[in-house]
Amino acid sequence: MTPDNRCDSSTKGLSLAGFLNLSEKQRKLANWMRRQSICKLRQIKTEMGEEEDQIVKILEELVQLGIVEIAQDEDEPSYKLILASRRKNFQSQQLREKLEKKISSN
Amino acid sequence: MTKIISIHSFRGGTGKSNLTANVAALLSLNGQRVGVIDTDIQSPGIHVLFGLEEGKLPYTLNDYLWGKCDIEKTAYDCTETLQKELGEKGKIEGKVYLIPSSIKVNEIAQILSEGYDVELLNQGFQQLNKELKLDYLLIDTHPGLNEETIISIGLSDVTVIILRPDYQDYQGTAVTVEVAKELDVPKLMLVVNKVLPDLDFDALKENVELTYNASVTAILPICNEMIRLASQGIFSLRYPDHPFTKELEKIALSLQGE
Ligand SMILES: Nc1ncnc2c1ncn2[C@@H]1O[C@H](COP(=O)(O)OP(=O)(O)O)[C@@H](O)[C@H]1O
Ligand SMILES: [Mg+2]
Repeated sequence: MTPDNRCDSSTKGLSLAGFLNLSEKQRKLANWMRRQSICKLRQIKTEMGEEEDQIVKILEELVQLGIVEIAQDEDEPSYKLILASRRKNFQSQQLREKLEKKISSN
Repeated sequence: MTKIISIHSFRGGTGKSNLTANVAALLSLNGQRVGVIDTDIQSPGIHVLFGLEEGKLPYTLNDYLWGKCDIEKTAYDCTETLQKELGEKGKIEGKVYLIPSSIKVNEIAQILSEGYDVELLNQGFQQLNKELKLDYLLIDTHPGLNEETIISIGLSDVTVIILRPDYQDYQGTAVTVEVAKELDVPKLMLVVNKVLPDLDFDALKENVELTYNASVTAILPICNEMIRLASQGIFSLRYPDHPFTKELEKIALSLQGE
């Protein structure tokens, strides 16, 4: 990781570091969900080939981690993976303030 | 369906931007509609190869990420420039669009300091593919691993990783390959660039493939004309009959075959 990616601690959504810390099963599910928009529980079951309560358990873990959200307004249980924002970075914030001072004084 | 191809390297100066621009040009020469997006927001540069002057671009990727415009506004049709570069030697039947990043120092600093919504970049890719009816979207990236990696590798159909025959590259490439495998990229291709012409290319290929357990699509020699061109144009259009261009064509072809 390059220094400019050392971020603050707001960790909602899937970040690269967060991804690499997932368990194998969580990662497998996240990998598949990342390439979909909204995923119906039914589709997830087919894709993962596991029992529903197992899958719901993994999904709940991912929801806890802030990586997956329950999709609202769907006619059946559905989930959505969310990506982390590229977070604010303190060092580059300072750099920017300096730059702007310099630009405005020219 | 648009095929998304992301081009990575662990270290800078490896040849990502030149390879991306050349592959885009060669695909368009084969009649394909190609988008090239510069996600190297911290050190953008590929616009230079396409002869785009940053000062004259009303919108860049930064504006889209700040919600100032639609992504389509940031796409510039470079087909005519490429055709001029090729001259009478051929006809570009496809299209090449470039989505540049801002080179204005305050805009780079702003995006680094404020961050942006990576999900928006993801949506931008999909929007471009649809609106421009792209056959290929090529993603030029910042060296190393960063937050964009999760979508550049994570959403691509093919990830190309470039390395030089240098031990610093070897180690870093191992990390990148590992992440690509974890992200479950459907197809991984390695390209070794800037190889001294007197090296044994077959032995090198075998060695790299064994090391990373991934296939090497091409081994590109260090090329004097490329150094002389100094990113002021697109090599394969300027020198269509050069042996180096033949190697680039192989890469474009194997991407088309995927
Ligand atoms: N095979 C090659 N032979 C000689 N010079 C090369 C070769 N490939 C790339 N270069 C040069 O290396 C420099 C860096 O290339 P670039 O595409 O900008 O790399 P990156 O995008 O990975 O930083 C440029 O000056 C380019 O002309
Ligand atoms: Mg580059």
